[in-house]
Amino acid sequence: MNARLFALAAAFAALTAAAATPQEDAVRHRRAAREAMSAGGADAIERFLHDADPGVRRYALARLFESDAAKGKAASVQALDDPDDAVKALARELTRERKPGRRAASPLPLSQDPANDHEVIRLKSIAAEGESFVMPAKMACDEVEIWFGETKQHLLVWVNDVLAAEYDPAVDGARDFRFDATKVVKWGSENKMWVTDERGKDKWLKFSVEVIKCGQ
Amino acid sequence: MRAVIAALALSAAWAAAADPSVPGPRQNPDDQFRFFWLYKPSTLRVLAASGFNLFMSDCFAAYNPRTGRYDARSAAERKKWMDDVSAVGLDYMEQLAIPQRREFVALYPRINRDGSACDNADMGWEVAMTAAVRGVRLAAESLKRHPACIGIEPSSEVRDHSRPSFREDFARRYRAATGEAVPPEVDKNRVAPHYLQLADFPVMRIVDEDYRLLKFYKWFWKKGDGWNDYQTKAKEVFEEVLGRKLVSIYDPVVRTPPLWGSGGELSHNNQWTYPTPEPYNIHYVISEQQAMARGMPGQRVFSMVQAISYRSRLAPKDVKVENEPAWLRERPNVVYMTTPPDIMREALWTCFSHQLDGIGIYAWSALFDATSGEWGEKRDPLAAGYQFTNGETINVISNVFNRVGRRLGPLFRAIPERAPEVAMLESYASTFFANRGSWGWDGFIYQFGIQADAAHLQPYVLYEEEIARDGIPPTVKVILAPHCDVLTRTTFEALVAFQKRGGLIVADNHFVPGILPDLPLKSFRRTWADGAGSDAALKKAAAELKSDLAPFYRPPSDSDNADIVTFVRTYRTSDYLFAINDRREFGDYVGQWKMVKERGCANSGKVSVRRRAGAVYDLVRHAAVPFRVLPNGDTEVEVSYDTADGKCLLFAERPLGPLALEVAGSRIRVTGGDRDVLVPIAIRAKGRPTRFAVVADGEYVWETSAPVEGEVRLVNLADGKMVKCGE
Repeated sequence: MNARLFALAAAFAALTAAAATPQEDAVRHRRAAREAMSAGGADAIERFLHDADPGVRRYALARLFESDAAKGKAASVQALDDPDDAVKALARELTRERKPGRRAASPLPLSQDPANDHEVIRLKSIAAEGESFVMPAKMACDEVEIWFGETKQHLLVWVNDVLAAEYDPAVDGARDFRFDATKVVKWGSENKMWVTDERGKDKWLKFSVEVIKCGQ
Repeated sequence: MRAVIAALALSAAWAAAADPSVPGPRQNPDDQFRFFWLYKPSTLRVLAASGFNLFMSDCFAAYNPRTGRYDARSAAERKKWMDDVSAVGLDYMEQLAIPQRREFVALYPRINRDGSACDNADMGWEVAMTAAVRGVRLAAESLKRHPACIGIEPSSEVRDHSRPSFREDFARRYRAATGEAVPPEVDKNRVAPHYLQLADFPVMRIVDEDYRLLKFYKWFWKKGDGWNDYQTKAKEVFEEVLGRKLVSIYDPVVRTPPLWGSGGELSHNNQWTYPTPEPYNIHYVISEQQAMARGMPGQRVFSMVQAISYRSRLAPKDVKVENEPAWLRERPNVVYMTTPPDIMREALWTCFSHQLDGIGIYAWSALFDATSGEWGEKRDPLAAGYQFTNGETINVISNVFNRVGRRLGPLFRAIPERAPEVAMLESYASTFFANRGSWGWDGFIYQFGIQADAAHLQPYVLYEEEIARDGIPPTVKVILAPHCDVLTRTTFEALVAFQKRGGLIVADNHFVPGILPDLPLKSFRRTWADGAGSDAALKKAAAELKSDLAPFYRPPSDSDNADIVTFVRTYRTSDYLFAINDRREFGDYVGQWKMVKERGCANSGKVSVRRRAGAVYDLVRHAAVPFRVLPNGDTEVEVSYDTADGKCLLFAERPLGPLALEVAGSRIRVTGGDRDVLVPIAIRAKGRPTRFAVVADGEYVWETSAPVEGEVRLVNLADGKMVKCGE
């Protein structure tokens, strides 16, 4: 009787599992992972660092960091190579040293940011289209930033033939547009820059190049 | 059963009770306001004929902050204007622009840390507040208690540029409020530094409510910048001088962080929306306004549709097209052009879908040809700025208001919003520390809100403060959490508990890492230059969102056609389904630019509500319509449209019974047996404008100003049946 009941239950479970949608499977898996990580300690959490679901891996990384910061930091270093961008981003965040006083995501240009302990050298403030600007000889600095001010347009920026930045108001919101150009500018020589909209049409915009010297 | 009772109770509670002493339209206090912003006296009659019952303007006078005088037109001239307003059946709202005028800002600006001035009045500064309130008092006195004035807008669009101000009293006021100094990171930015730049920021991005920077920015947006207190004081002064309660509004009320308090203690909040490319984007804006209003008990909501549209979003000047429209030759430099008429029709229907006290339109010079001189102004057609580029839009407004808005206004105002099932979490902590937020009109959160409405999820915007005060509403089954990088501890704990009770969280990759969302949030990428591609991407993403949730949640209404957008409101056991046809194509007004599909197309499909109904009525056609109850208990109706247009369908438990009409002296009483339905009616009594009203709880009483003589006719606007009484 028991065997028959068990067979019936197994058949029913198989039937319902077969009928489950991928979304139901995904939710079920995440709920199970959550419960398992809550019930177990750091060891239980570590098992999920290699889960197939990147959402679970990201959560496991955070939980591990919470329960054991040293283990969490070590796992974060490993996760810097994770194939998923969100996991990688969290790993970067958890391994990064936080420096007070920088406003990388602020809508203001750094030169107008008196709260930050750094020197800003403004190299250029012009209106240009297909403009060139000359960078001085290499100086000790933390960042070179190109700033366009508030815009609501979708913009693409090329510096020295490299697509250096894109601004999409639908994704980025109506905010000041500025980006870190440290890796694309050439010191001590002329730099070419032009801005287009998403159809490749040239745009005429004011911009400024700012060199930020931190750690004063 | 308990869930049903809870849902019914919440449904009633969601309809914030209006302060009964705040006036409605003088002609019909139960009606919605249909207001027009910016006007010329010459267009008064046209506006009244177009179904408007209120206009707002600042054209009568201006306060001069240098002289401290109120330079009003002559008292006699002003009285005549106000009398003219009354004579055509309109009400008047005084639009005060005192502290936003250039001269005022120049005298009382915000000050940066380096001493430079900002382009915004420092209303937290007592000197500025005193000067502004003096102007408000003079403005109120100049009205001489004229009865046509029923409202005030103390200021508009003043918080976009609000920033901390570094006068001495700013630090003093902050210390008095909190006992602390202004944090050193605070500068002229409107939000905090990014959390990655804050050494003392919690690693898991969960902030306690007393975290120093959270405390500061919360104070700044509620009290510190002074604007909310100014709105309240201006209203109080106006009401004191006029000796009666007034309608009072501030706009755009949600161009702030998602934090209660915007607009002060005004009776209503308002926000304008540019209804392109999707006219139903207004759904989400209104949901944000409702979230804001819940922080101010009794506050109700207005919504305003822009009749001006950014040309850059519809027909950019620098893009040449073939088959150029006539307006381009005649007004080549227009910056703000007339909103396309079919888009306007759909936008108004979107407003009807919600429980609003007022629906507004802006602006005069986009709807009336100011170049002709016909309206008392001769504008250069070659000028930039606002231009009249489509004469059909005002006709559409007039048609929709007269055919639908006037007749069903009292009903639209009365039907409560449904208790929430899908909530969209908007976090002020993320706005402060990750520079997020829709700010009422753009960005990822806003676009995702549109997507959720396209999926018929009717998202209820949930602020963190509401969670802290009331918890997550018990009827909520799904929480959508776009751009919630940082949360307050209270919110975090409530979300964890929500998941434990079986609630579903859908969030993106930025979500606080300490919560594992149940499903990933998938959005779409809008390319403004590609209207068709963006439209297709939005509809595809909406379908995917609905499909992802389908195993767990079914929305309260649906359609089998992605171009028919549905929204439902519920009163007791009756559903009111708003079904809007959004099938559009590129026309010959701005369609040449392929950015906005501006011409409505014919369409048909099936719409349904999650209810077993016994009768369905088309409230615009005033007739019963065929319906089908599906095996799953839903009720389905076939609908068809000639163009982009809307329908309002009443799904009742059973066919409506007859209404009875009694007239005794100056009292007209309508009764009926359907207590679970709000029944829209029209009463025609000799010598009076038709009274549109609602039979609620089986009764409606109209106390007229004088005894009723002659025949009185009553029409049930649901089934079209008429009852007569008298001669």
